Order: sequence, then structure tokens, then C-alpha cells
Amino acid sequence: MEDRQDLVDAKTLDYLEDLVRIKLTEKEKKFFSTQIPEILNYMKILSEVNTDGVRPLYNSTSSKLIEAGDVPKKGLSNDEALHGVADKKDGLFKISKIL
Amino acid sequence: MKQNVFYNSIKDLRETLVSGKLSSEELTKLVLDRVKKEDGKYNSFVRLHEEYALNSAKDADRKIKKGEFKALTGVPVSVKDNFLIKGLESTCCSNVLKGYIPQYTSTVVKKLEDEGAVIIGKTNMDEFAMGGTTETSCYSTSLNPWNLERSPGGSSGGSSASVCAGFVPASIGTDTGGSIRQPASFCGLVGVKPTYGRVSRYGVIAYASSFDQVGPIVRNVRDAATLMSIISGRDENDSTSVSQSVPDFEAALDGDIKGVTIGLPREFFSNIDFDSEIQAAIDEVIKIYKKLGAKIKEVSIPHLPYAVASYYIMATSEASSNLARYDGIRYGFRSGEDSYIKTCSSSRGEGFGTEVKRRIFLGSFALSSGYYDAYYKKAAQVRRLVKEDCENVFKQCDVMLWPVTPMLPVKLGELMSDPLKMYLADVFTLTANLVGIPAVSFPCGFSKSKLPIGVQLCGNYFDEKKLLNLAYKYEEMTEWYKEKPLF
Repeated sequence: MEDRQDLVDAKTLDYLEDLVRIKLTEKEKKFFSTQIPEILNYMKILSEVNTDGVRPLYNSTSSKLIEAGDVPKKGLSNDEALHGVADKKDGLFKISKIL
Repeated sequence: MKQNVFYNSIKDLRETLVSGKLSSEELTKLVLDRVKKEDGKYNSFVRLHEEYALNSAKDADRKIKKGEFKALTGVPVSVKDNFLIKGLESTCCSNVLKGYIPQYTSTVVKKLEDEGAVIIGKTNMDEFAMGGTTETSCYSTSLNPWNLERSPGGSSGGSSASVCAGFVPASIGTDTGGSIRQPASFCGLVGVKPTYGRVSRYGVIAYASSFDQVGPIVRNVRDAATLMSIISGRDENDSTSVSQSVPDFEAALDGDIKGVTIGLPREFFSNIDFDSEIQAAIDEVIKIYKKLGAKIKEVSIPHLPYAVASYYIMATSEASSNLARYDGIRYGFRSGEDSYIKTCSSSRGEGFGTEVKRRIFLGSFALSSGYYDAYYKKAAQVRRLVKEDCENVFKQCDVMLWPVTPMLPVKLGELMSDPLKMYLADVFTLTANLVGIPAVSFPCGFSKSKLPIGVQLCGNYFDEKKLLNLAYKYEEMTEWYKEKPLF
């Protein structure tokens, strides 16, 4: 993990901006270019811990998820599901061109 | 009568309503009027549901007349703005969700309403529950009724301010890394973070799904027990909720605590600097527990120094995934652009606040190709080690005790310029979320400048009963909850 935070340079920020689909303001880019490496630098503390053979823990209490029975239930109607949509047509989301 | 209905507990208000001295409709009107007149000082509410609340109150009055009285019939309650209520705007205090009208109601709100609660309105919070002061809210910042230059905490800071200002006896919040306990502590109140899985998260807008838990912020421990009995339990709509039987938490309050062993983790008490007035208050709590017959024992959580890093990597990773749904297409805010990708990037760029963006960037970095093993997987492995440490500690003691925060209620602006400082301030609260154990925070005194100080008890999985029992016994001896902010 040692030197990886150094990789969070302007190029990495641009890459992340694309990855997370968030357009940053110039001010935010300036802040993030120092704050994110600083925070990741703090995270380096984890490399002190020997985790050889330790299983990752993703959920603190449930060893396995309880599955719901395979019984159909009434969900939201089309109108309800599209209630908060800014632009819609014929019961579908309407979006700008993809290509 | 008018003066007597504020700063009351749930129990007091129930007695008033049962006696017929006041109807629920009258009470609701008094509360709504006072919020409208005075909340400009605190900004605890972001929305009042006047018509909705009055209809609930009238319904409660009809039931009271018929002698049908449940635990919360006619009692006003506020809820954090991340709980969905069908037909009522819910925004998580984010511009991305402004105008969003949910089409279903969260399980917890439904349970409260089934018991007769009157939901007065939605309280302010940090945007998507990311923050500890409400300063990241897209609305205004909430202020602490004990001192208007200070924060009431966060992210459930509007909830704590609404109870502290005496508008409602109870508010329901969420706690992902301390967001119930810290604001309760900053406002001199009681807050409960239940065991992960104890309370349904269905209909709660997600921040970090393996950490988020729902719980009450109230004036005293008895009310916390009342609400815990109501909101707990398995919900088929939340696959992570657990089929554990729900005890009668109120009945457990009077249990004898003689011989209970309270562990003090040396990593908290020896290695972290915290305010000297908090230290003095905690020392007094320990003395009182000794007087009550509890045994005090030093314990160790060896991997505790790594908890903040583990937590923030995992919580931001989960957040980056959960918040991917706000794409400008499916919910409220959409920025007009000529292509799908530009629409998505601009909607998210304009809709999210800076702290939310920072966490999405951090989380996405930790999950990205080439860094996943070194950050996300490593953090998850350390999470297991902290959990195993806690399991070992609970072989030596029944509960653990430590402060809620390293500092007194913070001045507004104090943490905002330095995000790392903001994250490190959660050191006392996030461990309970990281490992999923329950925790209760409750008032244990005041600083010389009359700012509330809180203490926290953490228990073994599903042992909220013992925590509430211990907190209640302490409360009986001290009665800090009787103190009210002066106006």
C-alpha cells in the first residue's frame, strides 16, 4: 500500500471523475487533490496489521442472508415507480442519446 | 397546560393524553405552533407535515375515546429526513433528492404509526448522513439549544435539536458511525444504536448498508426502552434484519446490576487524548457504577487503533455503490445535457455536496481495479480482527464503557475545513458499527461552560437489555435528564 497514494494525482482524479460519473468544480478538484491523498495516507496505517489468512468481514452479524420465499408479491405500479422521474414517455424513462 | 407539554417524556405525555386533560389534536397544534414560532433559532426541522400530523392526531383522539390506547397513541414524534413516508417529500437533505415523493413507507415509521405516534415532521441531517454537525445538509445548519454557537451533532443533529428544544419527546435517527449517539450526547439526551439487524432498514435511504442502524433519541432511558420495544424485530423486507426475539426492554430496566462487569478498553483510556472535563465526568460515572455494585475491569481491543481506517474505507466504498442510483434519471434532480453520460455526471456533480462527493471518490478509489485488495479487502480483514477482539473482551466483561466523543459539542465550522479531523472525531462511536454491537449513549454531566457531556456503554450482540438496564440505574442516581437549556 506504501506508495499508492502518490498515484492519486490529477490524472487519477480525472479517471475517478469519469469512473463515478461526477463532474467536479475546479475548487473541488483543488481540494480533493490534496485531501484525498492525505486521507489515503492515513489509511496506510492498516498495512501495519498482519492479515495473512484472515477472512474479510463484509457483514458484522449475519453469517448468511435470509432468503425470501419464492412467492410473488405486489410491487410498485408503473406510475408509482416513475413518480419521481424528471422526464418520461409511454411509461418509460426518457434520457438523452447514449451514443 | 400549554407550558407543561414541552420537554415532557413519552411517559408524561401518555399520562396527559389518557387523563383527557389535553387531546392529541390540541397537543399537536401546540407543538406545530411552537415549532413554527421558535425553530428559526435551531433549524431542527426541514419540513413540518401539518395536515398529515393533524389527521393522525384526530385518529388518535378517536381511539382514545374508545379506550384503545397503545404505547404512543397521540404522542408527537419527529423523524430524520432519510426515512421514507409515502406521499411526503424525503430528501436525505440532499439537492439530488429535492422534490422526491416516496411511494412507500419505511417499516420503522409504520411501526411507530401502528402504535399511534403522530409524525410531526422531518428533521435536518448531514447530506446522506455524511457528517457530524449537520453542516453538510443542503438546507440550513442546525444549532445546539444549549449553546447556539455550537453544533447539536450529526448526522442526526436535527433530531437531537428537536428533542433538546423540547418540541417532541422523541425522534428517530440513524447511526452509521455514531450519528445517533454523538448528537444525543451533544444535546444531553439518550441515544441507542441497536445491534446490526435488530431494527429494519427497509425504507431508510442507504448510506453504508452494512453499518446503518435505526434508533431513538429521547430525553430518558425509559423512553428509549419503550421505543426499542416498538421498532425492533425481523422484517421480511430487510434481508439483514434478524429473527431474534424482542425482549420487553422497559420491564428489564429495574434489573439488579450488582456483579455486572464493566470493561474499560485501555486503548481508549490510555492512548487517545480527550477533553479533561469529559475525563472527569467519566471518572464520576465509574465511581457511581462501583457504588451500584458493578465491577470495573481493564480490557483490551488490540486492533482498535485501526478501526477508523477500516471503517472509513468500508463505509465510503459502500456509499459509492449505494449512491450510484442517483444518476439524474430515476430520481428528482436532472441537469440538462445532450448525452446520457453528461447528464449523469452533471446531475451528480451539481446535485451532491462536497462531502458526499469526497466520500464517493474515496470509496470508488478503494474499490477500483488495482487497489481493491490493498484497501477494501484489507479493511474488511481488519474489521474481522476488531470483531474478534470484541468477542474476546465479552468473555471477560458484560459491557464496555467509554466516552461518546473526544470533545465537547463542537463550534460550527470547527471540523469542516479538515475532513480527516472530522473522520478521526468518530473514533469513540464507529467501533460499535464496525463490529455490529449495540451501544447506548446517555448524559453524564456538563462542562463548566454548561455544555452536555455523554458516556457510552457497548454490549454484546443483542444485549441492548443490559445496556438499558445499566443506563437506567445510572440515570436514577443522577437525573441529568431533568436539566433543560435556558432560553
